[in-house]
Amino acid sequence: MTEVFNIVFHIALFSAVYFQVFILLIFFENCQEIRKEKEFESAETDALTCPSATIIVPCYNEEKTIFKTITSLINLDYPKDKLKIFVVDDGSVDGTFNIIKRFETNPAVKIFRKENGGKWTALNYALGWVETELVGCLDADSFVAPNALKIVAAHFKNPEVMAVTPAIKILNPRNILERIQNIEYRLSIFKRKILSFLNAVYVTPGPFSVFRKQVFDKLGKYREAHQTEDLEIALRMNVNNYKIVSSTRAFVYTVAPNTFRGLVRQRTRWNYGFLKNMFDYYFMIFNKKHGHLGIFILPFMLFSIFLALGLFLIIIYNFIQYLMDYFIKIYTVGFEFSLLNLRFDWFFFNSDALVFLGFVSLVLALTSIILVNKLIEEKIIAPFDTIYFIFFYGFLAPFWLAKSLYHAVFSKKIKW
Amino acid sequence: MLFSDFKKYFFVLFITSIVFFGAFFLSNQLNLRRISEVKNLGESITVNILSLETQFALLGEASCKDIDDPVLSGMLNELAVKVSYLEGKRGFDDNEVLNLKKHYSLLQIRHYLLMKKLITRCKPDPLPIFVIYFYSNKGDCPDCVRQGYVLTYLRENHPVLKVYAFDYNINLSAVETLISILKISGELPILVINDKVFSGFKSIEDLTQILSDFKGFVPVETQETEPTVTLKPTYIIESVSL
Repeated sequence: MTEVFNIVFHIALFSAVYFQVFILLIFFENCQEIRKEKEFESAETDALTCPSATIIVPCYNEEKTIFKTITSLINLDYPKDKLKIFVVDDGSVDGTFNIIKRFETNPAVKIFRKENGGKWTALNYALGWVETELVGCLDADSFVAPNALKIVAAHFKNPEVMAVTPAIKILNPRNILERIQNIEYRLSIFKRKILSFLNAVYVTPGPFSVFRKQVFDKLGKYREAHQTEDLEIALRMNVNNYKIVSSTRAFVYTVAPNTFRGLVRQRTRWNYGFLKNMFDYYFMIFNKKHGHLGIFILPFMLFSIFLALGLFLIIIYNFIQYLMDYFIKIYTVGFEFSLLNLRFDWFFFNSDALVFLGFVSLVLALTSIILVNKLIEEKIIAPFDTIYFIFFYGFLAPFWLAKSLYHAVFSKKIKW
Repeated sequence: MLFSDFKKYFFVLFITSIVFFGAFFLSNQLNLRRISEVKNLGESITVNILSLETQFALLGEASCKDIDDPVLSGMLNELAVKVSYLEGKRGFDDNEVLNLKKHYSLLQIRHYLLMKKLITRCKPDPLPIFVIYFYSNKGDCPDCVRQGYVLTYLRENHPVLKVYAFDYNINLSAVETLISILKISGELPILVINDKVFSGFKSIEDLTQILSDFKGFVPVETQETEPTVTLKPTYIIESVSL
């Protein structure tokens, strides 16, 4: 048993270090590119050359956030005659529609109401009305920075670019779960940027991913894709060699789940969608026709789910063993604690190779966090959030990984 | 995909492998240093015991007060703890660990014999109580870990106890001779208290009951603040967790 655990532990750490080194290598290889991108994203855009854009906001029972979401779109620094906002009420049963109606006099806003059918149906419903060059989506619990669309639009000057993903941040992280997600989201910006350099972006997130309309004209609209239509459309684009790039400066702020239950539910849905889509797009895996995405990224993402679960189970097993030994000792001789027993001797310092590898992995993760803070010009370093992330994320993720794996394997549907 | 793309993967594999093997190399180097430290400690103890034996032989009965070496006790304790740690880290079957354990067992036997001589000649008051403990870590002695805790606890609270722990399966002729001399049989863990054999797990209460028959053993609850033991805890092996 211990031998198996040791092997799993070593494979997991090797993979983690390999992936982190790979990510950092790609980053340093593209430093020049990042500088250039910063320049053209910051350049003044001529209103005449701005592509026209429609942003679709699908919503279902979002009365708490929808007003702010639409307001953030109206406040976008973008030529007013080139921006349309389509709000689709997907059969809300709360006060969402009443709030939306307050915007009906705004010429930029068009309101739709339909029976509830899921996010992808709401998006497709609105897509039928889109006449602009660009079309984007904004989840009703997210808010865009005023310059976000201008930055995104700048990327479309490259005719090869078919979609642009934003840099998503957590809105006002307060409790420990939100603060953990704060760092997780920052790292996601970094990861997506790296994937962008590799032409391997495999998800166009709901909060403010923007596409050329021709993507939908040629590849078809959104599909029912296990509640992750944003992942499916990105995979479909990759299959058809459509270029997706990521911006690290087009900021979107999203409301993060602030309870453990809510977080597990959301992540289970995402991860379940990823696994089910992997079943649907199995032909991409280890297929060199699909470049880095097929050869490395997708297989690694799948593999890492099992490794993370394996690692978690080993840690839990060892912890239980330790506790059992401790309780046996207390049961046998009673509790005793003496500070006199505490002494430092290098001999007892744990110098297993695994400890050094864990340390290297930690240093690489911290390097990524520092680099992303620099990349997104984040002034708030959030040291405590980083500490929470490092110590707790590894114990949280296995819950949704295990749950989503169970649901995917046994074909149990996930509720939104 | 281009060949240069594949080169990236190999380059990363190369770097990761260097990091990986670097970690193993570093870990191995530190382990070698540990083993070397334990060996040196064993050598020092050998010299100390030899010195003590020689001193004892030279000075004879009149010199009992001079035969007291607190350093040796501390060193034996340190050796026990460090060998135990290495055993936990490298495994019971590791050759280096087995050799260190054999060396440690021999040192214990020599120490035990020296103490027997010392008691015969010097007759300290109270007389120390010798506890020889046989354990196994091959999985055939589920209570050995608990017995180790009990002995450690009792020895910490009763300086008059001198505990020597031996792996029953160590495959060392000296230990086998000890087993045969003491006529050891029965279920492990086995305790030999002043030549009397006790088989099976003995709790704190059981052992306190057994030891209370021996002169010099004062149960914890009846001990005064200052222990009444006059023999300094010089020859006590601190850890019995092996």
